[in-house]
Amino acid sequence: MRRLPVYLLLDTSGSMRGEPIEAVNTGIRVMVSALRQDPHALETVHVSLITFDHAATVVTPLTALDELQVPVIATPQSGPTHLGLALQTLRGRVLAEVKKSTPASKGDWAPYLFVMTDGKPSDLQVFAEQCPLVRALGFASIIGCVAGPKARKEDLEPLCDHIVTLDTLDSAAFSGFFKWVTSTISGGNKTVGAAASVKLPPPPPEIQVVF
Amino acid sequence: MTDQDSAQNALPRPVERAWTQLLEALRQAGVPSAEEGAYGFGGLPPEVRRVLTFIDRRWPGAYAASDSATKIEETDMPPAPADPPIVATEQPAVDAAEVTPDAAEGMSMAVSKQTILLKNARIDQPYQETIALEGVDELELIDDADTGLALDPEQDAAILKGLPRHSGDFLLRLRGWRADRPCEISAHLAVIPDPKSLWVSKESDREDPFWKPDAVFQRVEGELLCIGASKRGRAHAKDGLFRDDHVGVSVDAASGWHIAAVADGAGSARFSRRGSQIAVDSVIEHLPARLQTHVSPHLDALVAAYLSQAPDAEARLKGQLYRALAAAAFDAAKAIEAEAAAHDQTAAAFSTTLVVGVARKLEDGWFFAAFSVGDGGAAVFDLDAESLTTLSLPDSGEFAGQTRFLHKSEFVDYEAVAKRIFFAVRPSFTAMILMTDGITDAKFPTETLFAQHAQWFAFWRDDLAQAVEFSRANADLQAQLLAWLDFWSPGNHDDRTLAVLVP
Repeated sequence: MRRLPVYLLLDTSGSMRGEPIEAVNTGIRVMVSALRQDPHALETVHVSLITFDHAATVVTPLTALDELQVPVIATPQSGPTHLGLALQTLRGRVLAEVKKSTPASKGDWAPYLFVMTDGKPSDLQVFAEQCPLVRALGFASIIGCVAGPKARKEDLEPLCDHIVTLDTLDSAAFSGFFKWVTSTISGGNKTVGAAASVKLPPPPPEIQVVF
Repeated sequence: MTDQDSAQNALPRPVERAWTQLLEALRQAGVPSAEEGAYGFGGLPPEVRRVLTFIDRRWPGAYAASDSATKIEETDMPPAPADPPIVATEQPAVDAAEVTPDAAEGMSMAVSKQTILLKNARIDQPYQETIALEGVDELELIDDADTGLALDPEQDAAILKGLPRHSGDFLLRLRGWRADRPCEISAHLAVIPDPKSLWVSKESDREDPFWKPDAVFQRVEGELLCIGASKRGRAHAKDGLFRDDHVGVSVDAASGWHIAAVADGAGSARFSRRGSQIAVDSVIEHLPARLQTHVSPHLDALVAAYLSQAPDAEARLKGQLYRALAAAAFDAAKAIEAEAAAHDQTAAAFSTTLVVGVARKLEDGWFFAAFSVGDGGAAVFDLDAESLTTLSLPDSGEFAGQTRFLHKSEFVDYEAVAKRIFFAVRPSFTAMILMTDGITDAKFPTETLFAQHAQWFAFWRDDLAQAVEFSRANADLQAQLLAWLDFWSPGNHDDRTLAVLVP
């Protein structure tokens, strides 16, 4: 069966500690719950969670929605934001996990990538190298989320098709964001026979689509 | 580290003062005192909850030590057991039998806490999961969260069993003993719903200028029985969206041509339902004259040359078909452009695939031809002769759902267009079938299977023709075919359209 792979790259650097990461955890739980109520998503969506701080960690490899056990993501006390390393890790996973169509096998739907960060990449050179490589993987859409006052949309522009901003790192902002991610995934599910560009659903008031 | 001695975590003096002041403020605010009952986190203003959470995380176990009668509960936490008093903590989920530092941080001296993730259950299906936590024994289930699950009393091991009747996320609570201390386990359980039960069908908006019926059936008769049917998919019905597919069949009695067309409007294009309609209607209207002009007069001679393996017969046949089939498709692309312009839209907003098939009787046998842009496909087969000819080009991208659409830009040079023209000459046949990807994706998942006659024969004999009797005498044909179009295939809920031509 054709799967709709969804990759979530989440910033777990020190600055996410406390309320922000709890809001993210709640957001993911609510998102998975909501997607399970969408029959098409329940049959097709596969989710992978990758976190990045000083390291990049595959918290959940690509897993079917009905088999997924929502993990709780923790943050280290402090540390850099190695987004470039995360992209490198992601690329390895996508190449290994996402199936392309061949005459003898059925390909997956083009995957989605959501990248959430509250800072700027610390490993700028690796990040710059990885952006074009990740873009070449053929994602249906790469959506960036810059959260809080320290993150700038300019940092994610080389990577993303769309960027949204969250002014604050509180639970209202993240719950709004993950709700919107949910409807984007549900929508992506429906564009059966999709053309090149992916249309995003209108965002809730907590988030602004800036790019 | 599983336990933590609260004595090491006595509150620093300023915090203790603030804590005392807070308790006093709560009493004044009318929140029940420690003696009267627990302070529920839920009733507190968010700022206070945040302060309590902060104190608890920074000095774990501190307020259990400073006021052992005070119990604090998170609203989204299970209620704490009445005795002994415990301290509210965050709820980090950890792998079974593993306690993270975060989890340990919040533990009081008396009760250790642990959160585990249970294997997912499925609604109305028997569930069984062994809960094995290292060092924890005498597990009992305190709260089944109304899941109906229970620990199997017959077993020594803790085996959680039952038949969950409701879907959703549940938090079960268990209690056990770890090294002579009580241990409370919060167990997350997801009960997965049955996707079949989640599908709903909402009416599409009849006021929409491009509205069309959710299901159609067409039947025309000539020398062949030509049937067309198209039905809105579950994915569209769920959200009250329109059927993007379209179908048309016709017979030109004068020239003997039987024509069928199916089209699949791109899900991502706003007016694709109109695009598919224009494409099909345009072909049905204009193709007969083009066939009559460019193919009919030469057909017998060209087929004879082709059958005698004359070197240029195939190319010449394709040349004539190009003037009819490809030109009709090009006309359709132009018609879509005109419609888009009339509505101030780009043609991309009307993107659609198109599969056109034609059949005509020869002096001895049958002639078939097809032209297509995009996925879906066409084929003609003969069960008795055990032969199959596919009449379409695999047109899928590297990922599912990626394909080409009927735009003028697809008609740039003869070679590229001509490779989309297919024809077949047969003494007899069972059926010619055209389908959109709503059917091919489910029944012929790969290009390889689409080209295998075994797959087609099984599809016809055991599936389609089993459910639908394709005969002129069958009065129930419409009902049978529309019912068949509802077949269940996980993940395949696109619109479904087919055209069937049988002798």
